[in-house]
Amino acid sequence: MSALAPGTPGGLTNRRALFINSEQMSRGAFSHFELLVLTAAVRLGDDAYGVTIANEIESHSGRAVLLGSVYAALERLHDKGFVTSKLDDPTPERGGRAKRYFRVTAAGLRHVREAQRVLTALWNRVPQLKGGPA
Amino acid sequence: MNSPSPPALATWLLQTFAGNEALVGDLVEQFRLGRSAAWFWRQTFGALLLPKASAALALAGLVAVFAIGRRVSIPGVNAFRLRTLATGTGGSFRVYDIMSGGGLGPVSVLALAIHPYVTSATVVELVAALCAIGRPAYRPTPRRIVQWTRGLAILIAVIQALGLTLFLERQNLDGPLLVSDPGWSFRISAVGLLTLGSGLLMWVSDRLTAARVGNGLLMVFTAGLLVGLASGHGVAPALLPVLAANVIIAALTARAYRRDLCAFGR
Repeated sequence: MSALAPGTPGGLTNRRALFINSEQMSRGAFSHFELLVLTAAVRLGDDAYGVTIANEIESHSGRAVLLGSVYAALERLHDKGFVTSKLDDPTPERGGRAKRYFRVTAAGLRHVREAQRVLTALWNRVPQLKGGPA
Repeated sequence: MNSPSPPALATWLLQTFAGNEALVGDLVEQFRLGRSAAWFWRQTFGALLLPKASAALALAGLVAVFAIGRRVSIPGVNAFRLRTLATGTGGSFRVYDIMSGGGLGPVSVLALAIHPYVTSATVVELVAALCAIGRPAYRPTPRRIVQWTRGLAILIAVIQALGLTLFLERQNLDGPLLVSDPGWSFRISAVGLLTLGSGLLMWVSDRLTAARVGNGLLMVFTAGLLVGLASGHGVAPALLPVLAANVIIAALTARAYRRDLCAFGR
């Protein structure tokens, strides 16, 4: 609330702070799908790779997920420094191809927590959302 | 028992164009666990088309911006007289007109296109490379390179806009008035609009790169080039090498600058 209050650091009256904030936001911000992928990766821990992340999102959203979209989101998250990855050994079940495991970084975890905090705070102020799903 | 093999053509397409071993491995693994061939094909098309779809859409949008922008001439210029002048000039003017999305001829708000940014990035990347010869530690940081490039680009845009404005005013001596009301009010508004048009394209280019849609600088340059080639009367064969050289320099610069811009964005 106070982050955008006039006169405070980063407030609307401070032009320089506003530009810095928008630059930082564009670097740190992520889309709804990226948030889903990041949250699924946090939950899966050491078992997070393309298929398990896609399955995790599918089982909770009830919608089919393209693996290509999951990898595209993971690449963007990797570029932003929110996940790291490491290759496993190639296996015959995968046609001799290696599996890439992803791990959420401290910065990634911080952003998930921040997104959770903001969304929960907003939802708690919407009376129509109280009382569970319609 | 042999494991079932996924569709060979789909696997080849993925292998050749997706460039992601882990993704191909995931799909093969899931197919062998019982997923259908239709599922495999759907995933293949998704993996191949999704990343390209957003880039193609953005490029189409940029082409539309250049096609519309070239029809918006800066205020105070006699459009009819200008058309006569542009038709009468050829040579290198036409090469730069093509690269400006055909906007230089009608002196549109996008007449400078993305060239100040390309020129600035070329200069700064060259200076950074020269600084690092034999002493890699002396190479400026990506943050410095991006800041210098943006600052120099605005300076180049203002200088080019002023040069173009003064050139237009000078044409008044040779016939009917090209600029209806020459003077500082015209110069300031023209320079402001031309710089703003170029600055807007620079901002769009950086946004496209930051959003990982593609190489923003190259996409904006390509969109201008496509509209420029489609407009007017083509280019003399003798000038094709000049045009090709400019395209190659822009492509190399865009590739080098993207690395710094992405590193700066982290």
